[in-house]
Amino acid sequence: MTKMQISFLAIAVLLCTVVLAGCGGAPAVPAPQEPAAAGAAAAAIPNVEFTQQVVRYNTIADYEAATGNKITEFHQAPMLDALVAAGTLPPVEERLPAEPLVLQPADTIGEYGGTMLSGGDGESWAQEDLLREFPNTYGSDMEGVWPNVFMSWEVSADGKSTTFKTRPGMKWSDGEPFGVDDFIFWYEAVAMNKELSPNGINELLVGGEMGTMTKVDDTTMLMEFSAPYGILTQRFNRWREMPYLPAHYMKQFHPDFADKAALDAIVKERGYTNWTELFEAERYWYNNPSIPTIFAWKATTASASAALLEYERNPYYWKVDIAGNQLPYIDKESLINLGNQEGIVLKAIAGELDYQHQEWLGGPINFPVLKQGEQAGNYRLILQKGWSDTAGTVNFNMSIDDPVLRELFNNKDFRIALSLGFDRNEINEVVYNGTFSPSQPAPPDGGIYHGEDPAFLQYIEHDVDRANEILDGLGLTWNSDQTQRLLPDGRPFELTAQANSDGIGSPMAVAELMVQGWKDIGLTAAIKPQPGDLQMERRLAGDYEIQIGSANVGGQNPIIAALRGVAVPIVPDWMINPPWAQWVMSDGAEGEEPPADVKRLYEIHDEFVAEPELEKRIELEKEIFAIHNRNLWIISALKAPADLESVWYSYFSNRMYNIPNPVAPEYYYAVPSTWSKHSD
Amino acid sequence: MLPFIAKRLLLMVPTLIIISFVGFIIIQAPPGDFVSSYVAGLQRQGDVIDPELIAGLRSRFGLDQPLHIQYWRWVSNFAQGNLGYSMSLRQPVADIILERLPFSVTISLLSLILVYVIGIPVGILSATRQYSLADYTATIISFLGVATPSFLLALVMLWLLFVWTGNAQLGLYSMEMQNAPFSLAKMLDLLNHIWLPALIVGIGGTAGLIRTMRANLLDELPKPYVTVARARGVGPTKLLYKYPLRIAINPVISTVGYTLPDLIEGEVLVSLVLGLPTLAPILLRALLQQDMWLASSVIMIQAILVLIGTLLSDILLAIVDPRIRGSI
Repeated sequence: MTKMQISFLAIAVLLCTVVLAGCGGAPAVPAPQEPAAAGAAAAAIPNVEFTQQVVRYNTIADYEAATGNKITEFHQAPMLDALVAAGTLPPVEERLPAEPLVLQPADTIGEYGGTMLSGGDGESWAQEDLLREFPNTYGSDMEGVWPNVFMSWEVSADGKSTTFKTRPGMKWSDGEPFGVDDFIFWYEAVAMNKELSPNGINELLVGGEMGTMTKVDDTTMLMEFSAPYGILTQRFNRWREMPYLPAHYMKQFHPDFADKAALDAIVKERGYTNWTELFEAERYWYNNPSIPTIFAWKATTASASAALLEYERNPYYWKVDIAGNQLPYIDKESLINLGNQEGIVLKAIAGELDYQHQEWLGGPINFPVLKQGEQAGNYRLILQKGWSDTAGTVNFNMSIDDPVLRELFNNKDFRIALSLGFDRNEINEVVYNGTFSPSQPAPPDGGIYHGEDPAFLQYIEHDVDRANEILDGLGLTWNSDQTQRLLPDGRPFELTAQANSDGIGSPMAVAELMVQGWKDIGLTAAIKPQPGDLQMERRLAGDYEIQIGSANVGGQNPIIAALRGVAVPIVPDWMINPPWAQWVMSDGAEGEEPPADVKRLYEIHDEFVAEPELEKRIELEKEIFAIHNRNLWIISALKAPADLESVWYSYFSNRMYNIPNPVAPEYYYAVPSTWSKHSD
Repeated sequence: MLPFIAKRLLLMVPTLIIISFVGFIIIQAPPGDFVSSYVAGLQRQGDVIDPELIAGLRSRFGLDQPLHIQYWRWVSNFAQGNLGYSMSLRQPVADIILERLPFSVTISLLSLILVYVIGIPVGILSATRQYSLADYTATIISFLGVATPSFLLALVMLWLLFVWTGNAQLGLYSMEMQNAPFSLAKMLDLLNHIWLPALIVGIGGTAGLIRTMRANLLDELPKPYVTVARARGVGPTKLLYKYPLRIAINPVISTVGYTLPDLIEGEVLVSLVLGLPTLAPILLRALLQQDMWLASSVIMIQAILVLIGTLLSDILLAIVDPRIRGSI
């Protein structure tokens, strides 16, 4: 072929491939709307003080009773005006429920319009955080049990049954009514279905049996259990499995409600192998444009792996602000999928994002570079209430086969010696710039549980002499050149520490410094980096000596000590010692019998679940912490501060306003439907 | 020729079987499976997952079956065109791959074209003007290109572009065009963004090609037949292109075969850095989470691409070189 022909062919191929690529990608959606002009903002509202946090009023009547102001008419976003005028949407008064939730925004009545851009990916929790509507919720201060999807409830005297009321007139995003039928459908189709939930739903299993959900009328539902279930309403504050589904839509995907042959045809046509896959894919609100939703925005992008996920206003959203404007203010949410965190950080520095959760920004390490770019990028970093995670937690294999190590690990003095054997202050300076605080596993400072209490701060000094004294007393003599200790049976005192390589708070760095410190007391520890789920597997298999990682023992909502598998033995891979947890969970059938304190912890969990009174539950939690402090089964190096901006921060563009300050740890509690964006 | 192609196509089948087996084993190698990484993620978020739910999830996904049964189930489905179900993305794997494959292929092909469009002329220039300034410049740039890892180059270019323009050049489309229907404007937007990854992925190959081209041509140019043709009055252009170049270009064409895997692999790293919507980020996450069917299927697709590329390059070589055509 001549040169001309080759060049021509090359150019043709080039053009073809570009055309091919242009054809690839997500299916077409309508062009994005222009941000609307200023919405129906009311004049200054009397008796209302904007507090930089969102204030909730359960119903319009509650708002009127609290402030004396009346809400006389409702307004909607201008982007919906055309649809209502054309008759495709009913007017806003008919779309709202009879009892909408009333919210007071953080700064001012917002303007309608705008698109919020964030970074995330299709299967992370980034979009879930912004959208989900739990039946109840915590307040912005992460306390209390506030009605959300539920309007009210009544608990029976014996705590075994609760009657819930939903909001009358509430509708799904396609206009169909939302009510108790949708909860009952979830119960029958998901909770009681043997294929989707082979062993029932944990949160409904109280007293050994699954509870029941029955319809009393269209807006009233009764839940009954065989044992008292005091924390049921609080459970609904943050239960990822939201117990409602659009019955009228999902019935077609369930064999109990749909024609088997038709269902099989759909399964085959869509490329799934069985109906459970189809059902799970369809019910995932965040990636399915077809399913009706009650969230503030509804998905318009079908694929979880699309490069840009988009969510558009739900015209039937059931919340209004104090001026009667139907929420949300913002028209559209977008999540750009960049596949990795560094890309998101770069976009954040460039000022191209509107908001970003701390989890995606890399934590304290990136705080300086993000702070530096605030002016140029026109954004701000806000304190996001954080978790007082404990970094450098060391757990021991208490059921290890080796009898010498087993005796040592089970000896509290040995653990104390290891705790005294490294310098927490040095680790704090090196890894965390001095922002953390030396502590054993503890709840946050202040608040109800006072993590700064000395009971949580035992043996945090760096006392090499005392540690050496203890180890001498345990029969661990030094070897001949005084470099290392020997176990009582003469073997060198060496341990392998499996360190969490992908945990929060850089446990690897902490582990390395801890190990260096232990050299002075005669322990030679080798570090083996492992990702967190591998650590879990090894714990289950009993294949470890000590593990180093990070953990959160609880004491701040929604991380409740009595309900999480860190402080109490309710998971089979319990950090403190899996066989002990397996013993209590199986009533002695599996595992190893634990000390009495562990059995008590398990009892506390059951009592906590049944206990309806908040004060008594707080007492139970305090007991949990006391037991842990007494036994010191796990030791740790440092505790993160829960309220330090350089550790816990969230990113917001300066175009965004009505952002609570400080913002709650999960956006859901900060109520993104009241966030607003300036249209320039 | 046809028996040659048929034999090669038949040989692809056992190769793919071996690849599928090895790939599957490696993906399963770390302890645990998708459910354990999913549960670990949920526990990090604060949810307590009870063991019965875990067992239920495992049986639903067929992860409690012995390994060879899982393998057989996957391979038999794959052979029939059913690529399986992605547990992490809740979609059939085929949908995910079809959405992302065009971008992967485009970037690889574009890089390949860039490699040849830039590499061959510069190689020729380098050879004909040996030891000149042009030659030295080309040499230095090629060595730099070969020596720098593609992801490092991507990072540096990304940062430089950010500093110069203030925009983060990530992704393949700008925000407005991302989900818009296909149009001329969208294609232009794509061209605007795709030159950077294509260039970065291709630059290592370009460097290699320049040096190979130069060396081959320098081998041919001093040969007696060239001198004789010159003496007989053949013009310099025709002299260069009709004879020595045709011979020098043989090794270049036959090496398309192993340039292609380099491009596909280079595209993986560059896609991760630049946030491109190709198969690479999907594959990485699937491997980390042990989303078995998705990871295995993507690896198989890439293997098929490489094998087809190699076959095409062999066919091309047979077309171009009569010596090889005669021997097969």
